[in-house]
Amino acid sequence: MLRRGKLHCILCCILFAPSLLAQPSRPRPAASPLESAREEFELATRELGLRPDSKPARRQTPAVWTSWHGRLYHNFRNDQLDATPHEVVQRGGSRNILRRNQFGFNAGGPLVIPRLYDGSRRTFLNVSYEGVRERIGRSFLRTVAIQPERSGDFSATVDPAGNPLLIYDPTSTRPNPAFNPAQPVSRDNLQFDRAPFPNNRIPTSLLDPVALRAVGFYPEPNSNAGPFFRNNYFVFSPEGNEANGMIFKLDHTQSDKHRFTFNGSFTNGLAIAPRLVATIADPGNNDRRFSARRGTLDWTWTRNANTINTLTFDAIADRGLNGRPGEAAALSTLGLRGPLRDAFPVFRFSSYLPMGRSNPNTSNSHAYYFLTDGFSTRIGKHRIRGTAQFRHYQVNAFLPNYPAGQFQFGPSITSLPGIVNTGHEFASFLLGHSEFALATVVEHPSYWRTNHYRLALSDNWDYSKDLNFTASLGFTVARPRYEKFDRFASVSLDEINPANGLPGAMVFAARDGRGRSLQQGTARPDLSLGLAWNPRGNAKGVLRLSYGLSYGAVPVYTTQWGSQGFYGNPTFVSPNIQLQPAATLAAGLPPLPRPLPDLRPDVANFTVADLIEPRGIVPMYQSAGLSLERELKGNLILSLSLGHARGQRLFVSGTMANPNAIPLSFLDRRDELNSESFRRQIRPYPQYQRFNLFSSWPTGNYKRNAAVVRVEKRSSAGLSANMSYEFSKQMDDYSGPYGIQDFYNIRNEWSLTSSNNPHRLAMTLNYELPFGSRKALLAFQDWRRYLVDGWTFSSISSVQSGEPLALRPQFNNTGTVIEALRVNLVPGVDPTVPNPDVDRWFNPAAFAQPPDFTPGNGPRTHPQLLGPGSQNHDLSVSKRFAISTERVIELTATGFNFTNTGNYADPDVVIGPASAPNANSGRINETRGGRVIQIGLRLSF
Amino acid sequence: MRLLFLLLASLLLAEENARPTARTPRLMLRVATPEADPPLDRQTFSARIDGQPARVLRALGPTDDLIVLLVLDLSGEPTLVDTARAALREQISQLPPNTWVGLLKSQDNLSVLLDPTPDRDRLTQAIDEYPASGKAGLLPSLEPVSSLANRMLERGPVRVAILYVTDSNIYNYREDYTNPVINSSDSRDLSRRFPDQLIREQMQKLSDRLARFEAPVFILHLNTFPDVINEGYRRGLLQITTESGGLGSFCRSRAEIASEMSRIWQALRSHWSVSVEFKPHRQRIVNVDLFSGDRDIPNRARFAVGKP
Repeated sequence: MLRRGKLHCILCCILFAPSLLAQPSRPRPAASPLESAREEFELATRELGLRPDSKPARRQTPAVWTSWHGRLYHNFRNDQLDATPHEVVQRGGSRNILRRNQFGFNAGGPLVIPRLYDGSRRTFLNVSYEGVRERIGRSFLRTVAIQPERSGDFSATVDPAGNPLLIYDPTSTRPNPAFNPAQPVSRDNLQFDRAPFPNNRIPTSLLDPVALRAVGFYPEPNSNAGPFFRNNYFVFSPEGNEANGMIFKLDHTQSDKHRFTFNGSFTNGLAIAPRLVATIADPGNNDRRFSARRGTLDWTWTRNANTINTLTFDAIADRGLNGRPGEAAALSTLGLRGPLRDAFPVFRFSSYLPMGRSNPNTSNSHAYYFLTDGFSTRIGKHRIRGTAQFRHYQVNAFLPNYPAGQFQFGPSITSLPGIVNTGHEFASFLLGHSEFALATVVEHPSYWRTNHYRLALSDNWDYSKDLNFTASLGFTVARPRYEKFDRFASVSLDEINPANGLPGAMVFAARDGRGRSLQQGTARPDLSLGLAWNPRGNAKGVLRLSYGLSYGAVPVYTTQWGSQGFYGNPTFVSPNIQLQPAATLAAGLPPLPRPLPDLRPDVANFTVADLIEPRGIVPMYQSAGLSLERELKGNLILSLSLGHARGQRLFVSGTMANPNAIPLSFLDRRDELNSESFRRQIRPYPQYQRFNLFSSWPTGNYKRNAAVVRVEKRSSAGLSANMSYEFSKQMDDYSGPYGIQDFYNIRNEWSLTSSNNPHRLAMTLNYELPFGSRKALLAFQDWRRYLVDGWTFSSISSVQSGEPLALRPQFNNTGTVIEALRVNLVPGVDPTVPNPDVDRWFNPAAFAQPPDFTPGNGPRTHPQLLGPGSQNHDLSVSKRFAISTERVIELTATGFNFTNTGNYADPDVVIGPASAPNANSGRINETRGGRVIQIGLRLSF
Repeated sequence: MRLLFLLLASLLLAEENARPTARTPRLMLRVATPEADPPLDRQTFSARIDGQPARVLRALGPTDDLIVLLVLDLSGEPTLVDTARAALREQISQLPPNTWVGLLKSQDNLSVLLDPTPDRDRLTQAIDEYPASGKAGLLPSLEPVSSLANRMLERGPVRVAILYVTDSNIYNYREDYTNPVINSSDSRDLSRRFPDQLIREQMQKLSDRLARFEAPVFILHLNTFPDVINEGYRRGLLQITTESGGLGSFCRSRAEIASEMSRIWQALRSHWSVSVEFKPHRQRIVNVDLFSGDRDIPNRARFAVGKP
């Protein structure tokens, strides 16, 4: 017994000694439960190292690793899981191309380096990595030359109405002795007579050799979507994406008053664009190799409970290289000559798929540095914040737009002069007769720099318990951009051009007494005011009012725009596009008249000249809002809001602004306008073809009104949902796919914004199913819990109306005075149809092609005609598998457009003349979209 | 990929971390339940565990001793923090003598600012001197604070409740709960189409871990961030408070802070802690139903008791 008792005692010692030893020495029982609990609090917090008097915890490597958490994940997509996109099915295809793998990890925890550094309660590191390998199909429906046209046979070619289209021989052009200048040019009163090609075929001897070689790189039709040979080329091509990126976050608490944070990230990748054509003449996008870096260092100084100061340094840099290999010998293969660099030249047609790409070999880099100091302090009922910021921008750009030249081809040179719906752009191309040509000769990158300074002060005033005001006032000084090597140049509209003694001459920065910039800097305030009020002291309802005023800044665009003279852009314009080409492919382009840099005031004469707005005018934005938020019964929150926003002097591009535009009053000179020499006489700055404004001309205006209703169902029983509906109306004088009709009557351009969807409905839903071991239903405790635990459904749905349609006429016979000709409205004809469908979305009979040399009287975007609406429904189903309390596997299946809804494309908006109406007008040719499934697996630890 | 696979495999095969999982077998469960209308009577409580009658050992109600672990997690909008400080002072001044408050902060790192004390002046002074800046810390601190509260509950007949006053934004954590875009060039990334998936999973994991603790958690959030990830965060916090027998509230305006603070403190002060005898068994999760006479009380229902 004694031996058994001894053994028992020894076993007890072995079994319980560790736990006894591990038990902390407890104080004697306290007098009250509260005292006792407090003592336990002190003891436990000391053990956990939560008190200033805690002893440094003994750290071991495994313990450190267990305090790191994170996840590993892989998301996977494959076309075997997807529905074939509608646009592919419609063209007879049966499958998509989609291979996508996205994988990565995240890990974060205290930074402890054994024997070197113990940052277990001070320094925290978080690292994330993600890689993407993707190949995805893209589809394009375009129009290319039909097979006979490729060899000059236009006998099968028809106009948009399906009638035979005649092409004329430019070499047969003769003045019509019977022409009556007092009458408009018409078939009965031709100014020039021209003979059609026999049998509508161009003789082989007239075909341009460069064009013929180029045709060898041009695709043949492979589809018949129509009507009449149009939409005859369907491409389904993969685009690729490879990317690797990391994010690092290091957070270090030096003391209660000082904390430092470093965030760093990088991403590198290669984006491979889809090929529209499987030759070097591909007009698709360029492949792009890119990298980006970012680092942010924060120092937060908590002076006391009411005053905090934060100093931040932020550095952002990125680099991009665009281009594709294989075009080194393109020029010699084609036999095209000129001051050109190796790449495939751009041959542009008005309606056919072009050849060649702009910017075929470019590189650019950006570096932005921000230094910001912000403080916050409380004074009485006011919370004051101040910010001071310095920003430095660096943009380096090597962007020759058309190093191998751009040649534009239209029907005029093969038309019956002055008669629309005659001639053909591809026929003009085969003859090598370009109506416009230019090249970009760039020898140096441009190195743009600028600095901005900003001061801001804001006050948050607690006027009473139920009323709070906020106000902020900022001031930003933007120094004008300059070029590091003083290669800044622009047309000055005030300087006199030595060539003709008229205003408008090229000037150069840091020369002739000018500063390093040709643009004034700006100093602008910004202001915001706000009010939050709980009516009748009801905390469950809040009314908010806000007003904001701010100014934009002149962007430092990635471009060589603004350095003309240091780069060359020889421009060739046809003296009369109906009679003479600007250049022929066989002859090529002549060499530059003078070597670069060419810093004379007339260097940009007869070119598309770079023009920079010199006064530093910047956009102004204003907004005002009113919202009412109310909590209702049943965990519902209702929000109603009204908003108004307007922008003035927004930066627009050269299709929306043209200081060198010919006034429309000259349209009564009719066919004289086809003569470039006449057009020069009536241009405000006759020495320039036009101006390159590079989306920086401050003349755009917009106004937007919106009302939003939002209902939120707060989470209860695992279900939460949101629904918001917006009704909006946005008007402007610049947006749209085609541009502006009358640059001198901007008010007449005021119409619905082309991207305005007046109705938008969005719904989200999240539902954690009420099954599982900790739920009300199927609360299995055995193995079945692995099946029923952790199911969640989420969905996102959006439904929106279409965008306003912008109609345009088939032909534009205005002597290039109007670039974006509108349609005419037919009085008394309703443009809408009772039940719009794919065959008749709107009534084309309500519109007409304007007569020659006449502006259209229709609106830029139609106020009643919207494109087809669209909808999208995404659903995600997740299942969690808890391996332990720390490790969880989550499997997610997500269906994007899981209803496999096809959304209609916009209808054909081109209105033809009564003699040759566009048979396709008002029709919808395509639906797009298809269900995509993604499977995701994530292990959290 | 190979490296990722190996890492995945090693994580799956590795032993559970050093977190202690073997605990002293439970002898009772302290079930938090809110005060009802009409008020509950401590003499009338009865209980069932998984449908089987269980003995009620003790019931501590609104008039009994209470320790509040007040955890401040404030790092954002100073105006809201100032309002919250004023509202806290107001509530603390109304506490009965047998309610003690311990003060902790969770941003940056969880640490003690003041041990549980009946001294209101020291408490309000500590709250006023508390600097509101740094990184949010509510989520990583919930488990240690709950563990701390459990130890205090085990020491004697006292109610313990946890109250977080926070303005935490999910983007302001040191840990990554937001799954930010890493490759900005990846325009077809649909994995972030449901951006709240990660935070939802993290909150469910945390909720599972907290199921073994007994003190009710109350959370007053001073702000309502409208974005999807913060919405997921909000859902998760409300789920955690509900499952613990506590209460969560998110203020949508500054004016709401005082009234919501009052509502939360009222619920916290009046909550019942009912100790029910528990006979250990093999179940992971037990379901507890409380009754007062014939009334079914909406108490915290589920506790994790077995090996995780």
